[in-house]
Amino acid sequence: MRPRAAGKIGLKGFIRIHHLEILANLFYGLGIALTPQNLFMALIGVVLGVAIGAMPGLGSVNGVAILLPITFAVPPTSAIIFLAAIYYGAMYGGAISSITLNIPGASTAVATTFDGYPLARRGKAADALVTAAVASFIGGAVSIILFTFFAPPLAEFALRFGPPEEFAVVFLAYGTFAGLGGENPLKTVIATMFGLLMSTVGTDIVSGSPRLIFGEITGFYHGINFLVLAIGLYGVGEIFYTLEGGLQARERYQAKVGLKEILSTIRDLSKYWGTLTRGSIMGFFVGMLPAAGATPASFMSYSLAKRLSKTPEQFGKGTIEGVAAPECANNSASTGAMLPMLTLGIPGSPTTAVMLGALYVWGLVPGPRLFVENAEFVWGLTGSLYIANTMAVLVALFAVPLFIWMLRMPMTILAPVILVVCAVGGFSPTQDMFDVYLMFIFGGIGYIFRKLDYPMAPMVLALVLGGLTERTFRQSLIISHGSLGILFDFVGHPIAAILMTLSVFLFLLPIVPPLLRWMRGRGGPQILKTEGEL
Amino acid sequence: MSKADRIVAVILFLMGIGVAWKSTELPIGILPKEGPGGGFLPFWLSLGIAAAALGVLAQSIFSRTPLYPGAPEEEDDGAKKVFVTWEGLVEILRVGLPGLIMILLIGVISIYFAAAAFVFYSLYFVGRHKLTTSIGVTVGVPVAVYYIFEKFLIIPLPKGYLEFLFYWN
Repeated sequence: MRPRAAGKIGLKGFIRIHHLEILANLFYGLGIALTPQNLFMALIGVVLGVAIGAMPGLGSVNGVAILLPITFAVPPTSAIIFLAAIYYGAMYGGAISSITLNIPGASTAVATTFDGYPLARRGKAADALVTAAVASFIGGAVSIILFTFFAPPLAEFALRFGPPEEFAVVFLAYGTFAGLGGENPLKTVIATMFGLLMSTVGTDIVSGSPRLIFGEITGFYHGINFLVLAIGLYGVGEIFYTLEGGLQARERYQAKVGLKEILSTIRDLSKYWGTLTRGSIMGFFVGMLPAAGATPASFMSYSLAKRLSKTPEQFGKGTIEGVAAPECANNSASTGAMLPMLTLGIPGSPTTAVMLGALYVWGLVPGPRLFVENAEFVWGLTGSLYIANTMAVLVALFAVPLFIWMLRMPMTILAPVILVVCAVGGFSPTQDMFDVYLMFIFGGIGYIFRKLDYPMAPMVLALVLGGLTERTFRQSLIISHGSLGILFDFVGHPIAAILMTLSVFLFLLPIVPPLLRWMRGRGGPQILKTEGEL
Repeated sequence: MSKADRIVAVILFLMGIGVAWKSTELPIGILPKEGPGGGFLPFWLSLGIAAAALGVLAQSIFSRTPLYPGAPEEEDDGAKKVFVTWEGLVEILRVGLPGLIMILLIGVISIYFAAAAFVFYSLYFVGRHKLTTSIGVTVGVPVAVYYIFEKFLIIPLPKGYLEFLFYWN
């Protein structure tokens, strides 16, 4: 992107030039995505993603965390295409078990069970599955177009950020988790600080001296790798959690999807274009928020569709509108979550937090400079989103019987195999057995934290962003000669000051309702009920 | 449930204090020219964890009404709700404990043989799958891992004392 003197071109001209530039870049990206190797990576990613998404208990974040180590052999562009395809495919796959088993394949597909399973019980599983796939495709398509045109301007804006602004953006991400995360804010704060604390283990970035080397164990010198934490929490911990529940067999609804079912369902769906458009656009913007992601987006889209529907009484009894609304939103949110990850280096969802860590492993620095220095990576990914979306809808439509067959794979086969893959994945990034032991311990911590409602996403996020947080904080204080006032300097650093004020407000937000209740006396109204987890 | 909640809060509090102590090995103050010292962030973070853990503890002991929006209403028998049932714990340990043994064996008999032993045990003895299924998965998983990691990705995995078995040709 060439530098442009601000103010000389009017807003309209600015947008027009931008659009042409973006279109040219998009074709460049499609060219990269269409090379045989990348096409192959996208296909494998989509198939694995749909399969992982369909598995009860496993979602995109588990898939991306467990399979990340095998991307080390390919160039970063192919690797991110693979991970994005898993992310995408998992959003499609989640619906399959929601509809046929009434067990959501991932938390992002919980809202799909509300109407998907009643439809299956009435013998309309095929309609529900086609609706889910087509709605996902529409959500994906809308959000990818929004992504293509929103990302470059945002990145260009963020290029002007210095250390105080960067620190403020990171701090805002932590604030969103505490203020809007929905869990106990104290526990969210503990999880965030725990992640940050783990990122300080190893070597002090400024003085170079070893730091927090517990018991003189050499394994701590290279720091705690985020993959060890991610695989421990989302792989091992999740397996423990699922094993405890003991997956009971449920009645399964078979579905045959043919061309006839597809065409008739698309005809029915065309009545609900308003719901689909609203859900897709809303999903994208909800997905961009660091604490939100696809799960709240799907719930919000479902309740919005119900409120605006001509037949709200049908919701919950089995209407395809109730399947379309959450499914378009969760796909759209997954693309939305990638926007801040690439442009600001702040992930919009747990899965993109793991991807962000992967970027560092591949030697890329997420953030606005990525668009300047690694255009091939950014535009290759954007191009591949268009292709992965199309592939995913085809896989999800025509391979349904295969995935339903696969759902019969019992946990007693799946759990040991996943544990082995986790052990291998914990070892490969650092080639240190110590990390495998650490990963197993994180699995135990993850299981306990999950049962006690300590959120895990802020912990992974904080470990990934820990280095950036500390570096920008210390650089800011060096600039200001030790004064914290630089972060709230509305004259010298207005963007940082506004973001910091907003973050402080978000951190204080959870205290407001109990405080109001305390002032009014007991029995005040329940405010703000957040549904679902991330 | 709240018992486990309190125990974890106490552990987090003690951990916070301990790590804060540990981080005083590096300067924890803000130095005039270099900005915050190397111990600054770990020190305040671990003290913050200790403080927040005290908050969670207080919340669990004193509060009956939820302190945050959307909190599940604690019922009268909320304190009696168990963290994990015996049946649940047995289900976890039946796979988790052999899993732990597998991880400890990786450095001794190589990841491939440790994985094979673990998979076979879990499938045949715990899952009670057919012998053919069990053997199929037992052989398939290590072979797949070997070809993906050693051959395709060229990442050597630990082989313990059985290293010689992998270089016979």
